Parts: sequence; structure tokens; C-alpha cells
Amino acid sequence: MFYRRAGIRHTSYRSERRLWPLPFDRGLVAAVVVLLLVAPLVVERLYLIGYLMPWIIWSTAALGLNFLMGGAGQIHLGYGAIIAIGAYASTHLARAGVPFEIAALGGGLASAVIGSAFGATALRVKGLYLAMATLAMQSVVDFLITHVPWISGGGQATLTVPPARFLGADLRVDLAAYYVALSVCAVVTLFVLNVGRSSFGRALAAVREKDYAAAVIGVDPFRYKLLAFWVSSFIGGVAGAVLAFCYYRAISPDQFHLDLSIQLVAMVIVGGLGSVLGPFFGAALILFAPILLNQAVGALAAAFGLGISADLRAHLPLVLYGALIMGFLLAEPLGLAKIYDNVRKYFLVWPFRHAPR
Amino acid sequence: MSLLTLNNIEVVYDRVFLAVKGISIEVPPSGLVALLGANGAGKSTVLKAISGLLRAERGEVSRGNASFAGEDVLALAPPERVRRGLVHVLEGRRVFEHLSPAENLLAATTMHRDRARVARRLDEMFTLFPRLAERANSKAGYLSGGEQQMLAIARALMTEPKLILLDEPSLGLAPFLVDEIFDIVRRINAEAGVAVLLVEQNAVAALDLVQSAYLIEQGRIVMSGSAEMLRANPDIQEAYLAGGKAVDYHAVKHYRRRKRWLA
Amino acid sequence: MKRRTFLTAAGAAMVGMQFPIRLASAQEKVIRFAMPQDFTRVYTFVTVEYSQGQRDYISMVNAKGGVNGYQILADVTDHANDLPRALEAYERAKAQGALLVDPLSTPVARALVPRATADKINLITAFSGRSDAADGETFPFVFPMSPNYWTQAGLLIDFFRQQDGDLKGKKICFVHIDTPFGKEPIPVLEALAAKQGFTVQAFPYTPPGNDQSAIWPQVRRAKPDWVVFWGAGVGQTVALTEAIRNGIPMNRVSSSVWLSESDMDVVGRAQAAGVIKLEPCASGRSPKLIQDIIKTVIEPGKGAGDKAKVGTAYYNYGVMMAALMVEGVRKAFEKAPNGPIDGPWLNAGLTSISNFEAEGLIPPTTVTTTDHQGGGRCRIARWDGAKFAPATDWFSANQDVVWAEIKKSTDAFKASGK
Repeated sequence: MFYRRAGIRHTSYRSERRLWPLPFDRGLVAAVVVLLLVAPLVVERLYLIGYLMPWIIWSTAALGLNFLMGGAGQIHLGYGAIIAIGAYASTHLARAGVPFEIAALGGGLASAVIGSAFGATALRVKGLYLAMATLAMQSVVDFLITHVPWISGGGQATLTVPPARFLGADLRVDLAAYYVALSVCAVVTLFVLNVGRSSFGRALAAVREKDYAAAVIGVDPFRYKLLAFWVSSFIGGVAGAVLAFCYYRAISPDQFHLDLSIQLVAMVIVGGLGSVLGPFFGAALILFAPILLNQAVGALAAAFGLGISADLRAHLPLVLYGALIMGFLLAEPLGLAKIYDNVRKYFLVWPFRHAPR
Repeated sequence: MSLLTLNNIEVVYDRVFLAVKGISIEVPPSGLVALLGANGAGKSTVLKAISGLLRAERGEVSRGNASFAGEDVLALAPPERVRRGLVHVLEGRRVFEHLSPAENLLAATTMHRDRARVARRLDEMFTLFPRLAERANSKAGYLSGGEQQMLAIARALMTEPKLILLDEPSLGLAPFLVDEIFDIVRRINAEAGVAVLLVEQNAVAALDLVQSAYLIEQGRIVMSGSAEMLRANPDIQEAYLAGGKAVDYHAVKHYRRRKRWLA
Repeated sequence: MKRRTFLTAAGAAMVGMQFPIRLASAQEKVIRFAMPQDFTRVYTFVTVEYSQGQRDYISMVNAKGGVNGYQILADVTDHANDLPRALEAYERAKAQGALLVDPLSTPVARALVPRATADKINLITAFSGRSDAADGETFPFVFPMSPNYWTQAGLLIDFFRQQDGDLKGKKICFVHIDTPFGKEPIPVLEALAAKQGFTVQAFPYTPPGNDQSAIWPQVRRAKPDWVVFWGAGVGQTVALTEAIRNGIPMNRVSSSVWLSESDMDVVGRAQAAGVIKLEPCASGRSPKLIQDIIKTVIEPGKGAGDKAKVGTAYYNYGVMMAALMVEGVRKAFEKAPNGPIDGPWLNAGLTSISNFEAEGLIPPTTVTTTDHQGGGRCRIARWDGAKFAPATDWFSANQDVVWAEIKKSTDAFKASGK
């Protein structure tokens, strides 16, 4: 009914090849972009810093991980370490006087080099073994950051991010930081969207589906897996730089532990493996469901004067959170993006019930 | 009363894509029935709807009902359907490659508590398929395509079915092997009284074998009747049996356009 | 359609959860303390009791009419030691006008330092956060108000000196969790070793420390005169169990402030007798302040948690910190009765706390604009099988070495940080 067409019809190749072939989708994307652009002027600072900012940054990182996990089918349990490398490399570069624009790219490059070096060793194995290998990478990077004072920033193990400017805008101002994070996210999103339509993206999909079948059509699986590691680690590194400069402003090793890796994997899976929309939904759910549930339980306890203990009061949201994730995955194993897709398809073929094959 | 009755079955994949619609099929007890049709017509989908394997492919039966021996089977899980005597031999064999043929066969006997009966059944299978007996202890993954197909059928028969759904048993096999396999199907049907619903591309061989057949096109049943009647139909001759003369592809198109009105 | 029902319900619940953020700020005469703490992840071993103590004390203050007619509102939430959640809680607290934030988590405290400093909100980092935050000139809005780990190490060494007369030629084994927190006391220990002529041998164990069986036989073979074990949560009880198993005399084994009655229950109350810990405040129910709380809050049934926990070590830590915060509010009213009530206002109050003893619960504590540690006093307590019995009076020691370390750290911070 919103799409004003029962099914997808095109009259020219040009119209079919567009990024968003349907006018309604184009309108929706434009509306979301406009909303995000005016958000800092409209919403309260709490929502800007407490919600929008982490959502955008985590979505960027999850997009990078999804590129590897959903795009090339390689599981990665050490993505937190990739982000850490980006954050530390860019911070050290900036402390050495390098401007943020270059420091962020340098962070991405450092992540890409180290990430694909680990990827190369890890790629001799597949599936669960790859999971273990990337897990080992997480431990190695954690250990190095914690035990080399030169990296971690001395005995207090906290590295303060120096004042930085992006194209002249002071990143310590929240407004500037928000727009920088948003534009990095937009660039990454557009990149990931377009890779899916390129020969590179199709080669990755071939490697994901059956790597030996890809080999017999002339796609070198090792090379493309490594490229996927490289690109994904680069995105993770840049996300790490944005995280450090725009959001945390002081980094310490425990911000990038396995917890972060697991959180990102959860975002990708709950959001929808291989979907570009998925990381955005997944990041929103994983980041905010605990906070909102916590407030809801607190408000309910206060409203009804329930004398529940602090322990239960703190753990109940976690229980609900777990139930929520399981519920979503049971309702739609392919993730939140697939739920959106189902709804979209329903309206796309409306008023018919089904699309013809 | 027929053994299997499908009534107006509709299958939708991914909640949106309509695969088959209005499928009504009857298989009599001990009957031999074929389901014919071109690639992508929806034959395999119908078999999966009967055996309950649609879920793995995000499909569901959105309309209609299916009864097997008087019982509604759509609500049952696939293993339950096997226990009722409804077994599916998948397209492309799907043997357990790391098990030996003997172990493959034993794997299909979880519902039988009686070990003597299982052993007897195993012996029967090896007499029915002497080739498998020869290679009973090598890895199933190393069997030839024809042997793997035999193993898949034998494995299905281990469950002591009343109805066996055979999906393209001739796929990728040499003609003499196809004959051999069809002979076996005929013997199973004649000796043990197992009903067979056969999905086949090879219409010539299939129509020789079966008593009746359904023709499915673009997800709908367009024709049904006894094997003789279908063999005699000029359109079928032209499109599927090649009629002894060169195929005129314009006529094929024409046929399809015409046939749609029939449905 | 169960699936659809679930999705609709989940969506509706999400929307319904958007509660207004300004719940209490409309009410007059409220001073808001934000206490986002970790109830569910890493600091679970301390948070429940600590928070219970804080809330019970604040309930008592409010029951007695508050401060200057103002009620104290303690906003307790769970941040699960997760930075995005903690930052959200911090921003929420700021939007609601909280005067101080007490996150009770080292990673969270470290991450909040730049923000709290910029926003002029007082950040309480009791027993956590940066040790060099004791330097009020560098960190004007960060208040440990409790002996930091350098001070704690210095106090233990001085206690050993008191016991043995002289530490020359002695050997001290330092068993620690292999994290920045675990390694923190090492510079102070080494400085003191050079000064007093003893040797320090460090034994790191991998976090979180549920298996230390490889370390402790080495400690036994080293034949130490004193053993200090340094960790938190599960690492502590495992360390103590291993020390007992390896036959190290309990009266030569010591730890920081992170040892509690419940740890003793895990280890075995009788076996652990003799072990030494640091007490930043009195434990048990006998202090007058705890008695007051029992009378005005617990007995009327308004306690924040399990009655049995009242008077445990960590409960009293909570009372101690809440008492210091409320004392800061009191001092702030003395200095500027008409406000405006905001972060700098409370900051002025907190830095005017002088010789505050919380009716005998805590050592005389003086917080100044330069010293945010509060003097660095503690006492040594020994587990006697049933309770921690004080072995010394309140004392402070080796503060020169500690402050040299603090200055070294803040100089590095000032040179690179900002």
C-alpha cells in the first residue's frame, strides 16, 4: 500500500540497478538521514550522547563485522581486539601530533594489517576452529595492550585522547563528534551496500556459500577471505578511532575485552547475518534493551511500591533481556532485519498475499 | 480409500513466494503414482510438503490438508511421519558419507526395538541390493552414484514404510542403472505392497512404471490420469515423450499457453 | 499467530518503556546522588552490600529530616560495568541534575574522569578508579575519599615493620591479579624495598584468578616473611584457599581492603583465622552510626536489603562513603546556605570536610582541595575466626612515598593528557 505496486517491476535495467530501486525506499532512507542530521538540534543531550552516539558507532563496527561474518562467512570472535588496535593506534598517532583525519585512517590501517595477519594464520582453518583462532587473537591483543605500558599509557592504564579536530571542528564538542561519527557510519554503510553489487561482493558471497565451488570458477578463496579480513578490520579500526575520539575520550584495555567482541557478534546475529540493515537493528537492541528494561523494571517497582531486593531488581532486566533475544530469534531466526524484510515484502505485494515466483 | 490424499495444498516460501497452489493428489494403497513436470514446476516442493521438510527451507503449507492412512499429517513432525509409514528418499541421495552402508541402514531403525527384526530387515535389503552387500563395510562416501541411490532407497525401506516418496532416483545415472533401479522399485511395490509416489524427469521410464500420473506445471496440477491415457495424449507425447519426431519449440510454447486454460 | 503476538508485544513494550527522564527534578528540596553501579557483572562481590549500606545511611539521614530541610535522593541503577550503559547513566544523571556520581567501578570511573571534570560533576571513586585522583589539583572533581592502593600497600609494609621491628633482609611475596589494578602497588612496594632494605617478589596470576594452583607452591618455596595477595572477588578467596593449602602461616598473610566476612565463609572461617586485612572503617554492628541505622531504618523495616548483611565489611564501606558525601553536603550548606545547589557547590563542601569521624566509624578524615584521599588512614584487622578484630589503631604511614608516586603519575597525565 505504501509501495503503490504489487510486486517489483522494472521497465529498464537502469532502474533495476539503482541502490534503492523503489521510490518508497528512497524516501524512507532520505527521511532517516534527515532525522539523524537534525537530531542534535531537536533531542536532548542525554539522548544524543547516551543513545544516538553509541548506536551509530556500534552500528559502524557491527557493519564491519557483518561484512566478514555475513558477507564472507568467516566467524570472528576477536573483533573487540580489532577495535582496540584502531583506538590505540589512532590515539597514539594523535598524541604524536598527527591530525585526526590521518590518525583515524592510520588506526584503520593498523587494524587491517594486524587483523589480516591474524586472518592469514587463522584462515588455514574453518568454522569452529576459526572461532578459536580469532579468540586467541583477542587474548593476545588484550595481553599485549595490558602488559606493554608504552601502549596502555602507564600504571593507570588509561590513555586520554588528546584534543583533536576534524576538518576544523573540535571533536570535544559533542555536536561535532556526533556528525563525525555519523558521516563515518554513512560512508561505511554506503560502501557495504555497494560491495554487495560489485564483483568483489559476489566473489565473497561465492566463498561464503561454498569455497571449493568458488575455487573451480576461478575465485581464489584464500585471497578473498584475506581481503574480507582486511576490509572488515579496516572498518573496525576506523570505528575504534571514532569510538576513542568522539565517544570515550579516555581509553583503557578493559573497554575492549572479549565482552565487546561477544556483544558485536550478538548484534550481528540478532540483527541479521549478511544484511546491511541488520547491524543497525542489532546494535539498537543489544545496546538499549538492557537500559530500557532496567528503567522499566525500576519504574514499575517504584510505581507499585514493590519491595524487591536490589539484587533481583538488577538481575530481572537481564532475565527479560535474555528472554527478549531468544524470543526474537525464535520468531525469526534470520534476525531483526528479516522481520523488517517480511513486513516490507508483505506491503510490497499488497493487495495480493503472495508474490509470483 | 486412498493411502495418501492431498487436498488443495498451497506452499509459500519465506512467507511471500508462492511455490505451489491447489495441489490435490491421491495415492491408493500399494499404488504406483508418478508426479511429472519440468524443472522448477514444484514437484520436490510437493514431496517436501508431504514429508514435512519445508521448514528447513523457510517454507510452510499455508493452505489445504494432507491425510495419510486417514490421519492428518501436516501437524506432525517429520520423524513422526516416518513412524506412521511415510518415508522420503531425497533428491541427490544424501547418504551419511562417513558411515558404512550397513551403518547407514542401521541408522534408519531407531523406531524398532526388536533387534532380530532389524537384522532380518538388513538381510532383506542386502538380498534386494546385492551390490550393497558387496560393499557393506566401506565408506558410503566412496560408493558410486548408482550405489548411493540404492543405499538411499534401502535406507528408506529399513523404516518399513507404507508409502515411499522417491525424488528423481534416476538423477545423474547411466540408463542401464536407471533400469535396474526402476526394476527394484517395481519389485518393492509388487512384493512388499509399498506404495510409491515417484517424481521423475524421465517421463518415458516413469510412465512405463506407474499406474497413474499427475502433470505439474508452474506450481499447479494441469493434467492427471492413468499411465496409458497420459502416454496417449498428443501434448504429452510432444512435450515429454518427444513423440518420435523432432521437437518444435514454438509448439511447446503454444501448448503451455493452451494448457493454462485447462487448469 | 503466536509469532505476530510476540513481535507486537515486544514492540509495544519498547515504546512503553520511554519513561520521562525528569522524574524528581520538579520536586523542590531534593539533592540528587546518582549511584549507577555494577550489580550484575564484575563488581558483584561488593556492590550489593556497599549499595545497601549507602541507601540505609541515606534513609536514616532523610528520616531525621534530611540536611537543611533537603532530602537526599539516591538514584541506584545497574551499569553492569559496561561503558555505553554507564555513560548513558551518567548523562541521565547529569540531565536530572545529580550533584555527584558514584560508579564503584574502575573502568567506568576512568572513563568518566574527562566528562565529570568538564561537566563539573563530582565523581566519587571510592576504592576504585585512578589512584592518582588523590591529587585534587589535577583532578578537582574526582574524589576517592578513601585510601588508594598505594596507600594501602604503604600501610601494610609499615605494619610489617611494626611487627618485626626492622624489615632489612626480609622477603615479601606479592601475589597479584595480572591486570593494571593488580600491578598498581608494585612501584610503591619497590620504592619502600629500596628504602627499608627488604626484597619484593611478585607473582602474577591470570584474571579472574579461579586457578592459582601453579603460583602458590612457588610462593611457599620462596619462604617469604610476609605474603600480600592482591585481587578482587573470586581471586581473593582462591588465593587464601591456596595459601592455606600450601601451609603458609595465616598470621603472615595479608590483603587490601578487599576481604570480607563472606570471603571467610567461602574459605572456611576457622582455617582462615589470623589473616590480615586493611580496614578503612570499623566493621561489625557496634559503631554508634550502625546502631543508629539499625534503630531508625532497619527495625522499622525500611532497610534496603537483607538484614543479615548489616554491619558486614562492605556494608560499612557503603555507610562510610555515604556519610562522607552527606558530610560534604552539610559543609556545602555551611559555606553557601543559599546555593546555587550544583556540582561546584558540593565540590566546595566536599573539600571542606575536616576531621570527620562519622561518630567513630571512620578514621579522622580531612579532605582538602589538594588531598582528595582524605589523609590515607586505615587500621589493620585480623580475622579471629568469627570477626575482623582491629590489631592497630587508625594510622597513616609512608605517605611521602605514596605522594611521590601520585605526583609522578599526575605529571605524566598533565604532560600528555589534557
